[in-house]
Amino acid sequence: MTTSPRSSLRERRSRGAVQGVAVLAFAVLVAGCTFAPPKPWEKGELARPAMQFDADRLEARNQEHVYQSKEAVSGGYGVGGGGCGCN
Amino acid sequence: MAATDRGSVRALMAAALALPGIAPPASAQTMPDEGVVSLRYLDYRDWQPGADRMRVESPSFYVMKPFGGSWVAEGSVVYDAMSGASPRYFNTLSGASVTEYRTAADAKLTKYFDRYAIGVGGVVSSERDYLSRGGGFDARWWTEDRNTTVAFSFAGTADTINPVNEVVVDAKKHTLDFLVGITQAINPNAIVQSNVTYSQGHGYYSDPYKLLDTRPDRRRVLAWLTRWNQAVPSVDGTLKLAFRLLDDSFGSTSVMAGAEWAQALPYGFTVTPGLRYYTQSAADFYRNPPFPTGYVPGEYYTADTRLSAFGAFTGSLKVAKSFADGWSADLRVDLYRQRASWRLGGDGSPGLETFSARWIQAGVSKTF
Repeated sequence: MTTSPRSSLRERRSRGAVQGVAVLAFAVLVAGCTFAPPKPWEKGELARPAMQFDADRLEARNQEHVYQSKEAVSGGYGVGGGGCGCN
Repeated sequence: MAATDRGSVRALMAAALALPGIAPPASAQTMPDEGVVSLRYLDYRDWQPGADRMRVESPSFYVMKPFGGSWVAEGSVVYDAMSGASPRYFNTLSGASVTEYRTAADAKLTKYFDRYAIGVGGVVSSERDYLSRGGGFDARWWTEDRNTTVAFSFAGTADTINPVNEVVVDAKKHTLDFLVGITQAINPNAIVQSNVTYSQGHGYYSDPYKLLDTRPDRRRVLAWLTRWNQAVPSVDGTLKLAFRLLDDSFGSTSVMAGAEWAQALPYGFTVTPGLRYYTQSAADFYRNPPFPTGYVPGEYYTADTRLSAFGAFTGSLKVAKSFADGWSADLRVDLYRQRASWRLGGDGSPGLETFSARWIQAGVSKTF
């Protein structure tokens, strides 16, 4: 089915709505916190394993690869993660 | 069995298990003071109503070791075995079940200085019809109080594709990836990381095993990922949020939002339930069923449901335990479901089956 001008407009509108919700959610998240970077002696919580990003390298990679194979495309987590021709 | 059946398995194999990342965005401002060795096993299955599709068994191995006071070497190897049937268009599966294999390895060397670190790495992935090689560079700078880290990464990848059905021979694809990211400690209980990645590639993007599949030979992907980790010391838990916006020059945009709660428990246990939502619009050249409606010779066309419009939810649960002497082990289960009607902000692509997957991971690590 070829995309009609009307469905193209609807497509664009829905993309705009999705992005609007996204930006709003992020703004709420940022607004809800206190910005007071920790002193050296206040970093105990930040040092815990649960506070790390991608603490387990193999787990993070497996997760990203499953999603990359089942959804249109991936990105955001790192570079060099592409390489397959099969989207 | 037909060559195309075997081929479609290969295509999916390559898709399901793409290359290991060359230069992941590290948030650590300090050099690790001990090494780690990890073993992990992934068991993946997916299905649609009335038909099992693919199964993947994938063991992987990772080792990281600091040495010489300011260097860190790390590397990993992954081996994949895939079997089953994959769609040739929409939800129409190839008939035969076959097994295919892939091996990939990567290595990285990082040098730490007082206020910055630089790293170089390489990766290779090989299977019968697909060879990929890549190299990357990354640099990180941090402030004196080590509360802010800025990261920059760059990688190039060169692929050669030789599908068994010979619709192309020695087809090439070249990709350049860039990342700029910032990691900021917000307060003693919160840290945020925000990355922008840009990927630009040219070459053979079509799926040689999907009927009539004809995709543009250039692709640009812009993604913005923000993650927030919030410690809640009063209950010994951590809230981990992730949010991503992505724009693909194929015409698809997507939104991903994820949340996990890591609850520490007695005896070294941690239980982490998680929920992820994802939604995407269709690529410009995706056409709805029935196949091959909308196909015009010489124009772009795909009936690959991965490029359709849909929404998806994942529920996950991970149980981890720390032992004495640096040992740890974990078990993780993810359940995934994809439906057109779950698309946010618009109608999903009509006429497609619900797609489901589940994957289980078991891992063990030891610091040394």
